[in-house]
Amino acid sequence: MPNDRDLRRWFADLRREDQAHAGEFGNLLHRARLRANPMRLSVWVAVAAGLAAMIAVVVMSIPRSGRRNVGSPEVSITEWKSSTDFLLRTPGLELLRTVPRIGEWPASMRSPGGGRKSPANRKKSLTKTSLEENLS
Amino acid sequence: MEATDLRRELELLHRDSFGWALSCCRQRKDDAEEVLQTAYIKVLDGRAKFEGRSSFRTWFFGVIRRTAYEQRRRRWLRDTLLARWFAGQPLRSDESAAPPETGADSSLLRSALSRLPERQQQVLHLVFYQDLTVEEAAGVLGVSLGTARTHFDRGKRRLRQILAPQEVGR
Repeated sequence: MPNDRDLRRWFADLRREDQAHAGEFGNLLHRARLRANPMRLSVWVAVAAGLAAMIAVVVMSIPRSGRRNVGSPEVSITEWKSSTDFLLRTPGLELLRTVPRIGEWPASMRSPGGGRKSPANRKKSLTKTSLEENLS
Repeated sequence: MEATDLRRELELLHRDSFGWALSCCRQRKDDAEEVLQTAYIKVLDGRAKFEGRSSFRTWFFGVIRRTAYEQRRRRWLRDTLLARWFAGQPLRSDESAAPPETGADSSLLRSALSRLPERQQQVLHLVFYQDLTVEEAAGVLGVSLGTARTHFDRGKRRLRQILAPQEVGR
């Protein structure tokens, strides 16, 4: 059974072998630096700022005529008409827009045969017939 | 401690640090180098600060141990959650990585050590390989002295049992 001295000796052999495989400190540190900082943050910030500036320049250089012409707000509001505006024009709409007169019926309210009479005419014709009946 | 002093201390310790990193990475040379690189950067960039509560060697070995643990956890996450999930690649086996080429006696010792639990391996390495005291080893591993002693005694007994029939170097 190996004692502590044997163990120390074997471990010392192992140590010598391992140390032969250890690379140079400077070399390892150099690789560590390359691995840790492939590109510094400040470089990334500079690249991003440059890209943003380039995009801004390109957008500004597009001619105005190429963009959508919106026009002045006053003109666009007053001239604008809805494409479904005709749906709001219902029959009899003129009744709401005009002041009615006594004894006159609007053309749209008359029947096609012209048989319908205004209340005043109807009253006239009624009195006329009742007089004729009384006389006979 | 100034950056130049730190660099000089790290350079003096470099070979021993490599041996310890190998032990923390289960004898995988590439992993040990990667861990050592990260640990150097941590120290030189000030992410790991030496406050003089122990020797520089004990403190830096602790940094290496934690870095190796972080690397192993990251690798596990990457392998299991990404490679296994998306690409259906097999998990990287710990046994697949070959240790550095060594002599016959050293491979017997390495093989015997690999059969011990990790903590026992590490305490034995720190005491026999790095010539630290058990107390210093406890500091490196972040365990109490009693725990380190238990690991040391059990590890030594088990290592003797494994090596007895083979008698390395005889």
